[in-house]
Amino acid sequence: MKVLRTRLFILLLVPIACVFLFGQVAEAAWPTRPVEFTISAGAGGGADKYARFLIGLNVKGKYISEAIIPVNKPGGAGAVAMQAVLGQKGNGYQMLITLNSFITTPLFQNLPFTFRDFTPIALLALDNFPLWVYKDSPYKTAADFIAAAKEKSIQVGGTGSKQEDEIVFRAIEKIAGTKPFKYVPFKGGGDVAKALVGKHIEASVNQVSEAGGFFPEFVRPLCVFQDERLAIPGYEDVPTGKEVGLDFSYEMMRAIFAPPGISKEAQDGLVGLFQKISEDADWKAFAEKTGLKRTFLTGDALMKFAEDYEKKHIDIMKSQGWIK
Amino acid sequence: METIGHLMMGFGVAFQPLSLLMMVLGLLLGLAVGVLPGLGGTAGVALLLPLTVLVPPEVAIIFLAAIYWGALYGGVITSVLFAIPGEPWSVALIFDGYPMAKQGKSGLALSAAFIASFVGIVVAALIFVAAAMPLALFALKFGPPEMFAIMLLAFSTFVGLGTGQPSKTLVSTAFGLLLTAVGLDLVTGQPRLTFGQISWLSGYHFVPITIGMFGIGEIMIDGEDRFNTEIKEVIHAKVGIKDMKEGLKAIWAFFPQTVLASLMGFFVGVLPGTGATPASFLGYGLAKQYSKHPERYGHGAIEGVIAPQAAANSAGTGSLLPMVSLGIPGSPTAAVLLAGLYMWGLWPGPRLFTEQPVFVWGLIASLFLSGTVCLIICMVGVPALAAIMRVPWGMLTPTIIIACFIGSFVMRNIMFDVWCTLIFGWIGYVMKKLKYPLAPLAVALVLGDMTERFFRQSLIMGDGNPMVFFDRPISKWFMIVAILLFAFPVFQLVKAKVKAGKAQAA
Repeated sequence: MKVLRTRLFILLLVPIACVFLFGQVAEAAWPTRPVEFTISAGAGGGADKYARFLIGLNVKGKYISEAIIPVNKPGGAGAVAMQAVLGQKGNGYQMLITLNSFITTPLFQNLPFTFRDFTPIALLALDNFPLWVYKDSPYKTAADFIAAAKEKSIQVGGTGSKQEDEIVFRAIEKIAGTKPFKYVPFKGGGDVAKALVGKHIEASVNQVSEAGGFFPEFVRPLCVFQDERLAIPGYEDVPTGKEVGLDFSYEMMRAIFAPPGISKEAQDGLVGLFQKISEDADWKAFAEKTGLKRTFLTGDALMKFAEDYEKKHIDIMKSQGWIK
Repeated sequence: METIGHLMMGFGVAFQPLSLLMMVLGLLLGLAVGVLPGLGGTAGVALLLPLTVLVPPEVAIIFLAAIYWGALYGGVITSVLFAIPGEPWSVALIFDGYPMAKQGKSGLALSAAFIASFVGIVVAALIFVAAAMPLALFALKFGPPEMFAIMLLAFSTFVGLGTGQPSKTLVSTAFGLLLTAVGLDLVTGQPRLTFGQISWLSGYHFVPITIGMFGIGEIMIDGEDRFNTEIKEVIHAKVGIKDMKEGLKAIWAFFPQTVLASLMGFFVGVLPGTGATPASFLGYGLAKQYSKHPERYGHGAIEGVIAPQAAANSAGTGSLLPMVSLGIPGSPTAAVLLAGLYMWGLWPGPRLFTEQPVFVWGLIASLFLSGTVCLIICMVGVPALAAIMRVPWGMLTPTIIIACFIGSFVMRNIMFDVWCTLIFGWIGYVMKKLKYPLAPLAVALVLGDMTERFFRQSLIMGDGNPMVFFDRPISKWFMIVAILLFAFPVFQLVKAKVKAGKAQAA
């Protein structure tokens, strides 16, 4: 009896000892608990759709053993989510899905932080900005649209104010010398698409992922503001901005950042996760369908990209007088 | 005829064992989500979305839609029993449902609300079958000016909402509108009333505030009453078949109103970006406006429970219509469902109806089925739910308070909202003590943000000229009706004064 008890005792000791001896090693293995994915939009918003799509890939493909949990922190054009993630210094189980607002909001709102304070994980893709009109719009081509915009102030719409969509329209104004657009801000890309289909605005710069479902029944793209044409079947004839005399390219960054000061293991783990996701067949199919330009940047290359992006935005925003 | 064939095919999908199983599971999860304050149907659907890649899309959508119906039914429960809105769209249920519970009629209130939910869903599902495409196309005609006119209509039906002094109603409404102004302004992109706080940029959300004002505030009032006077337990929580019978009777008595509320709710739900919450307020407001006994509202009128609930559920169903017919979400929850379509490899848009008939008609058929099954689940559960009221106050209250705080946090996952609940609990208590009505504040909070947005978008469209509301054919008529409704109480007041003056003179 006594022997058995001693044996049991030793048996119990073994795992405890293991924890003490190999504890450090066990900790290093990332991940040991679910990873939070903070989303700067409400459930159903643009960034939310992307984040949940990416999470869905992990359910199917099991790229990491632990779950990825979406946490919505909408508000303040991304400021609330950014602040929340920034506050979780050293937490390797936290990441943030970012848009261009990741660069512009700190600039415009004078926030006490910038993208430099975050740990770069991955740039997954660059999203497009086509110029859309409704199907039976009098503007058959981009040239029609520009000619008309020189005559009168055309009513257009986009997400938010002094964010991506308005930046594109103000850029058109400047390059083509049109009259100022009458820009109506909406709450999200879905609202903008609805407004265009319902003919409450005359043009929008929704992403293909937002407006593409209405093409060709309700809307038409006139051009796309990027260097090469869209590689989506059915969009081959859509000219680039440059081809129609609007030499301007502007894209939406779909990137992932993490809090500052996370461990090397966590950073490598997260980078590895998105590296695998970027090669996922479903992701590729999604990108092809929505015209996402798949790119993969991480580490210093991503930071360099963000630097350049910030410079570009400072120029644009200064020229509009939005910031000093 | 073709429609009936399609519908039969849809029922074929909905009656598959896997569909049925997932539907019941979804309903139960939805009910749980609905009962927990703050954790809304939108969040519930979003939470379980990734799991749906494991089943075929037509089953996945039935599952997710079932969560939504469950939440639409379940939000009622805490509103009626504890004056805590389980869901945004059940705020209007507090106005009369809670007084009913206080009078010991919680079982009746719940039964009536559940049956009203059922009527709402069935009416909506029928319209869905009959006229999905034309209605969706008509709804597209509603731009910001039309939406503002509808919001104005909603406010106008609430003019007489506060009982007592009109000036206090006005103060209450103004306070609500002021609160909605906090945060990042959509039109200028500038922060408003944030005092430099980053966390304030997200603005006040009405859920933590209503949880605080109604839930916490009510508990403090209740506690004070109990401290001051020896309270005998007046709650008769004996419920059973009788309540259900009476609930049915009540629905039958107010059947035209219930159907009208459902029709109105459906239409508001179809409109872009509104959803069930404004519909429930409009349902309540209109029912009161056209009631023969408006004075009964706010004191436990059963119509005040039926109308908003029928409208909310009908609107919830309606919000799916533009989603499946055009690929445009009618509510935040529908937007999440739309995200699901991408995940399942379906492309939302006008082609969905023709390209994915099994998917679309399976969903439509499941509306009828989910509505029925959920009604049965709820009715079986009513006695147990009403029995919660028999739990001793000293045990129940702390639990409710904890649920309140958790609920306000999970809404947006920020601590700011928890502080809101606490502080607005006190504000609610003080306002109640000073006899300021809380209902107008709630309405202003819920609709204020949307109303302002539509108003300013319209003004931009009209170059700052308010005539933009009267130049457009649809908004014109809504505006005229709304303005008449606003003028009506004033007119009545004048008439009463004139009468009184004549009586004195004589």
